[in-house]
Formats: sequence, C-alpha cells, structure tokens
Amino acid sequence: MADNDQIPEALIAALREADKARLLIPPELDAAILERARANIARDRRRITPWLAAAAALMIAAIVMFTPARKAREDVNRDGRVDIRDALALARKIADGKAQGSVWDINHDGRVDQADVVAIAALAVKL
Amino acid sequence: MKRTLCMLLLLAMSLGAQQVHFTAVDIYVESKDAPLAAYQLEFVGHGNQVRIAGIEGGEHDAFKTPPFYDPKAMQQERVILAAFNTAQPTKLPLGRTRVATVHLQYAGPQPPTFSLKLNTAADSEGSAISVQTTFTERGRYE
Repeated sequence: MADNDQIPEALIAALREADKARLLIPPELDAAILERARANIARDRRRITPWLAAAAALMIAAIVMFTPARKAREDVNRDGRVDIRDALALARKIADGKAQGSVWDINHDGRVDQADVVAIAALAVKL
Repeated sequence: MKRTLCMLLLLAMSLGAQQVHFTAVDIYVESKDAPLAAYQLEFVGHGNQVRIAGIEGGEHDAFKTPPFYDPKAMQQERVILAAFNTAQPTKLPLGRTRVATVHLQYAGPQPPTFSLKLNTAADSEGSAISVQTTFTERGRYE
C-alpha cells in the first residue's frame, strides 16, 4: 500500500481499465503458436533420445562389466558350476578337518557335515 | 453281437499295443589308468512312453550304493546320475567299471533307444579326468 502512494493516480486508473478490457487473441495465432511449440518439442526430443539411449546402454554395460559375479556357495572348487566334484571337494574338506566355518554350511543347519555334501550332490543332479 | 465282438477285438488290440515291457541298462565309465573318484552323467531313454523305474549302484565297492539322482526322474525318461567316493586311490576303480544300472519301462512293440552324456569325472584329488562312458542293454522282460 505504501508503494501505491508513490504511483500516480492516473496510472493506477489506466492500469485498472486495461485489466478490465479483454485481450482477444485470434484463433489462427493461437494455433500457430501451438504448432511451433509442438515442432520445437519434437525437434528437441529427436535430438535428445539417441543420446539418452546411448547413455542408458553405456550404464547397463558398465554395471554388467564391473559388478562381480555372485559365486554360488555350492561351487566349492570355484570352477563356475555346481557338480559332483563340488560334493567330493567338500567331503574331502570335512574328512581333512578343513571345513570349519559357516561358509560350508550349505543346508543352514548350524554345522558342516555329510548333509551339506548331500545337499550339493542333490543340487548337481537336479532336473 | 457282432458289434460287441468287434469292440472287444479292438480293445484287445489296443491293449496289446500298449503292453508294458521292462529293460535294464548298465552304465560304464572307462577311466583307464586314473582312479575314478567321481562321475556325473546324463542318461536319456528315447521311445514310446519310456519311463525310468529304478536305479542301482555299480559293481565296484566304491560305487556300490545307488548314485545320486533327482527323485523326479522316476517316471520320466531323463536322469542325471552322480556319485563320488573319498577313498584312497588304491581303493578306487581303474579301467572300465559298471557304475550304475537303470531300469526302465516302455510301452508298445518298439524297443527304446538310449543316450548318455558325460558331465564330469574326477580323480581322488578332485581334478577333472578324461573318461569314456558307455552303456549296454542287459535284457528285456515283461
């Protein structure tokens, strides 16, 4: 209100009158503006989409390449697959007293024994 | 009367065609000079309604107990067989040894065929060894 005091009364009145008057925009102009806007958006989209796709592909490739492969605990001999040789390897570890620790507790029963060897063998022959 | 006789004849013929037979297949592993401590192989029966009916162990003491297999393989035509033994090399088989016998049932007059694929074999150290797998059909019975 304090600012209004510094504005000339005539200007305030003129602005109020202008505000009351309806501004008429021809539909042709409206349509032309809309058309241009759409064209701009489409052009931007065409420019950006290939880069976005390339960036996404790079990101996926990087994730696949640099994420360490999860090793199956059953793959005792670490050859990349679970077969009867893993059961043999764990059986030998148990026989040699080298299978302490929960890492070889395949069936999660709290101990490492023949049942863990059988669990690996069962996985190896699973259809 | 004639129609009933024809129906019975057709029924008898269809039952005859679907008669169930049994056969047994011995599976051998030849490891030459390497003591065989473990093997894993895939056995498949091909033919009319071939079904695995039973699995036996082998001839050598090290593989006498039936091998590991998925119980789901029973009444199917495919099974993965695997066994191991942690005994000393001197107590493991050398050369050709029967490691398992698969009993199968099949229907119809056409006998089934079989295929065998080695997955892996190992010596007592757990190292992969080169072996040959073979099978022989022991005989058919009804």
